[in-house]
Amino acid sequence: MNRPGQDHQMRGTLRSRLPAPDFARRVFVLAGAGSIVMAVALLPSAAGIASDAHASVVAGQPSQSSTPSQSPTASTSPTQSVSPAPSKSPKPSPSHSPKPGHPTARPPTPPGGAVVKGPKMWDPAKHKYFSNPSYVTVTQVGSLVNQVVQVKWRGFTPSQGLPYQAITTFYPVMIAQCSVPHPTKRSQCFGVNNSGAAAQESQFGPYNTVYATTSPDGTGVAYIQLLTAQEAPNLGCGQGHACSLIIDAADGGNAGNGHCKDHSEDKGLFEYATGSSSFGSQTGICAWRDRIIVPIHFAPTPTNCPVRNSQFSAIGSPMLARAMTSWQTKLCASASPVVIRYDSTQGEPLARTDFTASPPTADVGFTTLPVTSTGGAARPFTYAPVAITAESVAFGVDNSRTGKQDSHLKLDPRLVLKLLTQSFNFSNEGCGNGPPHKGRTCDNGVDNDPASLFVDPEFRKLNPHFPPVSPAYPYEIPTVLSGQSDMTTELTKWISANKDAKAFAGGSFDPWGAHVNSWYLGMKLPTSALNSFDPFPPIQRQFVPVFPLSAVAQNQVNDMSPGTQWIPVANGSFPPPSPEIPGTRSLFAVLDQSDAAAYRLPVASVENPAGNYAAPTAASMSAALGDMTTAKNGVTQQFNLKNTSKKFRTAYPLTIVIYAMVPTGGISKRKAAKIAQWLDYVAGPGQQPGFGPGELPPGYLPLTATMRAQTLKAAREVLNQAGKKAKHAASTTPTASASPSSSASATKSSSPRTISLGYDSHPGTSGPARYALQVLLIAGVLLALAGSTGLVVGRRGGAAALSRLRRARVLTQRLPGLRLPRRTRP
Amino acid sequence: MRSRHRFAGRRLMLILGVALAAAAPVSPALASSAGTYTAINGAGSTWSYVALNQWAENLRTDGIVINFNPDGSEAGRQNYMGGQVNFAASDPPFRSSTDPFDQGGAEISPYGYSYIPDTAGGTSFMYHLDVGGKQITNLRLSGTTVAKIFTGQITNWDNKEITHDYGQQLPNIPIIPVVRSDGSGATYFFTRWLSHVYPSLWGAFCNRVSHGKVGGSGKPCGATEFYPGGWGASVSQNGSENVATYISANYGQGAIGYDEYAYALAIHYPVVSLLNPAGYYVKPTASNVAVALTQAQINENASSPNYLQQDLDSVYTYKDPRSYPLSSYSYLVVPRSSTKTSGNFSNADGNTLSTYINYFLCAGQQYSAELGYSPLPLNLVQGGLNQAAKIPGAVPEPSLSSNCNNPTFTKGVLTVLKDAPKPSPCQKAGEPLDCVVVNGKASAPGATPNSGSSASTGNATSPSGSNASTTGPGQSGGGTTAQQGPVTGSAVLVASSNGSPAMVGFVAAALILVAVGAPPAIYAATRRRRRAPR
Repeated sequence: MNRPGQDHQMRGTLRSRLPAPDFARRVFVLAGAGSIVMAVALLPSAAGIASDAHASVVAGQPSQSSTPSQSPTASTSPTQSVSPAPSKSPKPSPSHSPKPGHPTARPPTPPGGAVVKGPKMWDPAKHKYFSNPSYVTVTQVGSLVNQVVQVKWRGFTPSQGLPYQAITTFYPVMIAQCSVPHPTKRSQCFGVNNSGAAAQESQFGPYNTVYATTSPDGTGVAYIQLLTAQEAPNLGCGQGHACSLIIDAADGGNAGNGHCKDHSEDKGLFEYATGSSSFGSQTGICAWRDRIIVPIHFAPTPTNCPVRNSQFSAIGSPMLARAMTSWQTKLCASASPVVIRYDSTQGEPLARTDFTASPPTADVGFTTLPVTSTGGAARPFTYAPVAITAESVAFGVDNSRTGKQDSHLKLDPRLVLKLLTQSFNFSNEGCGNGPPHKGRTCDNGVDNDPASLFVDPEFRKLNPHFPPVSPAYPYEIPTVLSGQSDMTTELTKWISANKDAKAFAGGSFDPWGAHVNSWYLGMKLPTSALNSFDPFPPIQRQFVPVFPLSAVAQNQVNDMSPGTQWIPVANGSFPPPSPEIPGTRSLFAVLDQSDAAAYRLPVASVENPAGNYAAPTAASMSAALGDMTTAKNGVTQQFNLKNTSKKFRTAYPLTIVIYAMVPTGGISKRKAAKIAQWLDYVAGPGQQPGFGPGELPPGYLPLTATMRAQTLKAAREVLNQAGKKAKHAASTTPTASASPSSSASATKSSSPRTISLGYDSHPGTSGPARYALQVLLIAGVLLALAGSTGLVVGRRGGAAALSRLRRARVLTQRLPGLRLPRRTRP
Repeated sequence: MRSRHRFAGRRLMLILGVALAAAAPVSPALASSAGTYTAINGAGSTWSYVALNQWAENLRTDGIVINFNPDGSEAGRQNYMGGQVNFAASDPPFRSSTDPFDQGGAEISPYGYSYIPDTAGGTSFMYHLDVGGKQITNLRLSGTTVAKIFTGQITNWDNKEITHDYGQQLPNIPIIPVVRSDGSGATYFFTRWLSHVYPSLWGAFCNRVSHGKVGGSGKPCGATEFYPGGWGASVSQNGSENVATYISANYGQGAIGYDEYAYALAIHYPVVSLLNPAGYYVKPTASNVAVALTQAQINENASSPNYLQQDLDSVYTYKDPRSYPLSSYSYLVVPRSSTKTSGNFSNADGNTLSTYINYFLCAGQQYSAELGYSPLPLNLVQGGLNQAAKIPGAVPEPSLSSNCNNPTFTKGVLTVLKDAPKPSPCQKAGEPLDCVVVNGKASAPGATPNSGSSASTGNATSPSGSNASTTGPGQSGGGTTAQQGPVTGSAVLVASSNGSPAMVGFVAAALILVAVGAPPAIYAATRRRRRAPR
């Protein structure tokens, strides 16, 4: 969406960041203890506010937004079949007075989304057409990237024969993406001629076509991944190339004689109301005629940046990819363009190596953990916080009774460890659990273990109301990231910080007699990488870590389990698995919250050190920021996994801060200026949540004022290039209390409007919270000032900082590698 | 079977990303028709993937989208035969007979094809050995020792044969041989070498792991794309990425695996210096690979279906002191006009594909060395261009003499070959680990001022330099100073004794820094801490 005015604002902010002469001095004077006090004082309350605003919002399971349309919606005047061309600059839609609870009325338009009126659908119960038109709501129709949107409808023909199957379900719904705003031919839409077969692949890759069903009340909901030209060149959607969604309701009609009002054969001999009929080219003419079209518009991507030499290179932290992409897109087109060559695929350990190599092979490296190697960096550098996100355990598990996807699930560290080590007696493959299947050996690594996660007593105890699951595919093998990664380190630190999980990894039995897959007894926790250790063919071929992180998320979106099939086909090769069929899925993936939010993947609530369960929400991530330990460099922070205090019971323990390692010496002035300009942007407008170019995409929490100040300070240091080369590779600032809190500039930048982690926790839904947060931030900054003053004088204010100091020291000691005793048999 | 990772093309750069970021974006000086290109997809070789992906990246700004899924050579060929991809990348050609460990027989593609060489490289042995808190980076092994490690005959790093090769005994650390579980060209190259150079070792191994079905007395066991798993302490991993991850992980201590040099180079991991038939321990540098491949017998019969394919037998035995014996070429499999093509392949696809190929055969070759590969010689570039012109819808063939812009040749000969440095005398078998070169000769340790310094560790032997030929001090050009330096770095187990005084000094310095340089806040904090009870 075009947001006039915004450009101005952003450039204005950039300008205001140009170096102030006394800035650096002020930063040093205002020692960071103040910021710590501020953080402690501010965050719990901020978290509380956020929690009010987003209490039930878990990415992927967004609560239904019921905000009346006050923000512009895409130009989707009620469209049936071919609609007029959408104007490029959307106009605000007229305000409605929705009647909530009445499923036949026109639904409210979600901010940034669209409502489209469809035809009156067939009512097989009364043998006539419904008296009200149908409506389709799409949560977002502008500034789209490679993401998932929610599609809801009302007034449709209720489906019969659930869960969805192409030949047995009557009156289903198909949603597909088309390459033009107003498709007139089936060939313009992806996968619409597929006779309703779900989870199929085309020559261009898997179809993103979605098949869904309508409830008895005429409503339904589905999620579809929108593909940009990068993922689906055949569709070519992108900036300047609008596309559309079609919602194709199979409401019957006699395609044989062309009389679509003739519903006598809907369920008769020809079964025109099934997916296999309605969604094929010959027999689907009636459904196609009634298609509902929603034009969609895409945001620019870095590939839209002008082609020119990059001004600096950056590497690392796949978790940052979506934010960085947004910033790159904005900055490359700004008045003073910044063109960055960014490799988002590489993990943080390699980014650290490349950044500190001699000579360095990256100008900027992204990391979560600080540099620890004693090799010594080739040039002085500092850390600048750039984004806060979380690591998530996404799940795609369907209720076997309803076929609907489950939305809530709790996992403790031991259960996650069981998933990562395949410590289940899948499909009766353990030696101690009955004879193995014919023609197979057994996996004696998991003998007597539960057959699956869902029958594990530990899981049942934690999720007593979890609906029955009978997956078509009997393995719950998670998709995880391949290669060295701070994500893996943080995840396994969380696991090994838990006493029970740690003992389990070492070979102890859980209270129900389950044990770790004994092939994994040699694995040391925490670890920065995951590999397959179990050579049993079904496990070895399926537990295949995936690279890069974007492919992990894509795997989950495609309903794919990782790896390959484990029985070779005739020519000896091992084909990839087929996508799991919705209704019978049991898929898990460990990924980043920005991908989970973009794809609306349900994510698990996980146990924090206080023994509570939290999902990655704005509130829980803010709460985690209140309990971070700071490394010796004074900037980088990790969640304190050792603090069991109930004070942090709402904290999401896998909250992750991403830092840029930026050179404070040894690079050219020109390059330094561009890096500083980029940092200024990141600390300012780049923290504004939103969907547009330059904004902070869902799944990230805006940086705190303290962090922004750190980033601005780093920008000054980069610009000045006066950094002294540290003998040790660690940062030049030796202690925790040296972190800056430049209140002035931090407040100058606009405070985040709201904290958005899932799509529906979108700006606009939380008006009061917005102001409360601003007030709190300002209060926090004032507190920071007071705190730092107190500390400098050496009075009471120092006490809090002192305890932080001690904690920081504890954290920097590496957690010892786990020694694994040999497993004892029961 | 469908190619699963549709978005593989989005994997920006598997590993090397930023190594090349400094290089200016490449505008292919090709006579390509301006305008739009169709996006094309390919699948296959992980061995050549790092280079293929980099080339695709370089063309991205020209609007060329190459989606390549590195699912292994074997799967790539299957995808090609199934018509699911526009092209495949495969290290070996289509299988003409049954794979020893594979139920499948010969592969007969329903679609026509040409082979186009894309890059040369060395199959190398990445390893993970930490001794006394320091990573060993100067390991050298003979082919026999490598063969014994990967056939389960040598199982510990303290083995006498390893000691003999390396020049010093390594501690008692079990060896974890890491092999590929998927059908892989790297496995093919490695086992082809094993089966030719060590037929009895390999045959006995085949026989043992197949429970007598393959190999054995008198029955040779050939090359395979499927390395047997489940023997000894071996670990099987799917794909190059997971092999590299396993070796470099904290549980990878003692692990050794095989793959193209690019993978080790990209994650700054060392590879074995392999003993060549001339008696020198060498690394798979661009020049050493180029030297070895002068002995590859190329099928020059343009009408043969195997035109441009390689016979590596003479490469294995070449007695040039620079030759890296496990060198080879990798290929693309592409459609060919006037043969049957998959219905999914259009002339527009051919336009894109031939533009991509012409680019990498010409300007793209200059990146080979930085990525861990070696540029193609003239006859393969010329042959490849000829074959690319036969792709349906191909753009006009560039001329080597005018618009190809391949900068890797000097008067028609590969520059890396022409300037290939001789190995240092210290790389000769039998020279001690702490050997140094004095006046061009290997000399006793301690003879030069540089010796004994721990700083030499990994200096000459680390594979992590931006230039692939960091191996030997025998660099061309102004390498005289380098030639005087120590060659193989410090011996193991000296790190702690050398390191500790430095560490003490450093800690002291850090403490002083903390004490003096900190702001007043720290004074306050420090005072309070001192008062706190201990």
